[in-house]
Amino acid sequence: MSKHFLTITKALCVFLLASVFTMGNANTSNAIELTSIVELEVVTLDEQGNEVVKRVPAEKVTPGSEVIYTTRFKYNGSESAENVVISNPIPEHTVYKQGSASGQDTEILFSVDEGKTFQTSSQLQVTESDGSKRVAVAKDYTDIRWTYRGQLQPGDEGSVEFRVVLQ
Amino acid sequence: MMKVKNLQIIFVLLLSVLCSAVNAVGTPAGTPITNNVTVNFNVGGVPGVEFGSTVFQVQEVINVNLVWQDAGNVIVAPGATAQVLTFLLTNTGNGIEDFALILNNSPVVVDDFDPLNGNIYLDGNGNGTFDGPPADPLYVPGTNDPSLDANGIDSQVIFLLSDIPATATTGQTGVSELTSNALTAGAAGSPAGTNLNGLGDGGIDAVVGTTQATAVASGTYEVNSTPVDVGIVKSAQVINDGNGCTVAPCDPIPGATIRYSLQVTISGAGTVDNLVITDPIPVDTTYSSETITLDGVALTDSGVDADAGNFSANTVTVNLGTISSPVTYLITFDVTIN
Repeated sequence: MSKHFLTITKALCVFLLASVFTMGNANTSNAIELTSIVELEVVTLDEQGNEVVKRVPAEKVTPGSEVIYTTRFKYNGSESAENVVISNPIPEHTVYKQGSASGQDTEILFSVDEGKTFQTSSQLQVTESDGSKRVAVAKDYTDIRWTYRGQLQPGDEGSVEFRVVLQ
Repeated sequence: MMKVKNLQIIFVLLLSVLCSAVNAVGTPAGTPITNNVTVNFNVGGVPGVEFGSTVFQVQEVINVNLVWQDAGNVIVAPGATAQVLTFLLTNTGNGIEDFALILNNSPVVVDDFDPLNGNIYLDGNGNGTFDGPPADPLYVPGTNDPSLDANGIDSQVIFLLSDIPATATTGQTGVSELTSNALTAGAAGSPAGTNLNGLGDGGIDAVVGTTQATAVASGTYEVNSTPVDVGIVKSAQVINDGNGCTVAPCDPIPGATIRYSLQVTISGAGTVDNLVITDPIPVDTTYSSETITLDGVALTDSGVDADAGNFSANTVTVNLGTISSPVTYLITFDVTIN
């Protein structure tokens, strides 16, 4: 085997390895498996006659009903993922339920301008038609954003949740 | 000239429209509610994004509201026929629903007489006033049941017409009761929350709302054997003497402004047709143009426009039209002393 051939082989290997490495990095599709579900709470009686609150799939939803949205995520990548941000516009015809957004290890911010800017709920302000400002209330909210603190490691799972009332 | 009563009706109709807007019943049945969630992230400096989505359809809620619309007891004469009570039926659900109507002239309430020969009519031309068929047709169950869209034309004015017994005496009352039942099978009278699978708009599921898909309202006739009568009381105040005094009573000196008030009172039982009030301007005074008011609302001097007022031939005219007793009106106009 000539030295020349070895050099070429080495170079090719480096190139191929580099390609694979780059592909591994760029191939982020399906790295995070996202499952979104919508549920209602119903009160049922257990065998002892005690009231039990149970979640059921939202199939029969009437105006005025409270609906729970849960987004589950599972990280399937092989390297840690960072800057993980979950964004969720409040669905049309619904109003956010104050204080209902939750998510472990996340910072939760809200928007009143369809996701252009985000603030904590206490900092959010709305500008009235006359130019005056007031603290935003739940019905002003247009979007919720959860920013994951730290990195997602391969196999990590979690969920975020919020509630709305159907108008 | 538009009759004052018509203006009032338009106002009432406007109010009804506004009130139904206030009653906004919620998202229309069948509306898909979509939630879209996005996750953005970085792996080794390379951005990634994933999406998730859910959707459900809004269920139909069946609710109904029925309100007696007359301002108070409807004053009637003994033996009067086809006396009108007015009701407003509103679909307060979130879909399209047909309603059956049932008249009961012998409800279980304390009254003095039962109205007779009752019939139900629908306000077909939507003017809020009973005009008789064909404009306002007789209601025939199963044939012209009102179909109301909670997200569109959600209400229907309904008239109950009954006769008053000739034996009824002044002060006696008689009650007519109207019931409206949603016509979706199994809805009317069922407990709130009853599911009606596949019976909603377009085959979606429906559920019985808090009104139990039925509504009842009563209207009352009150007998007054005194025939209908029109009374006018005229008074005058000098409201400006043109010399510094601007609060009545001022001195009636030349150049002073006199405001005349005509209190028109219609009493007794019945209806006054084509009531026109005319008042010539007194000698040695000049009418102050565009000062006619009716119940505080300005009327124009022109006789060719839509309002009830007119000034011509040195005479103030207010056309009150056809009026159901009892009611009062206040007309004012100003003149200056020559």
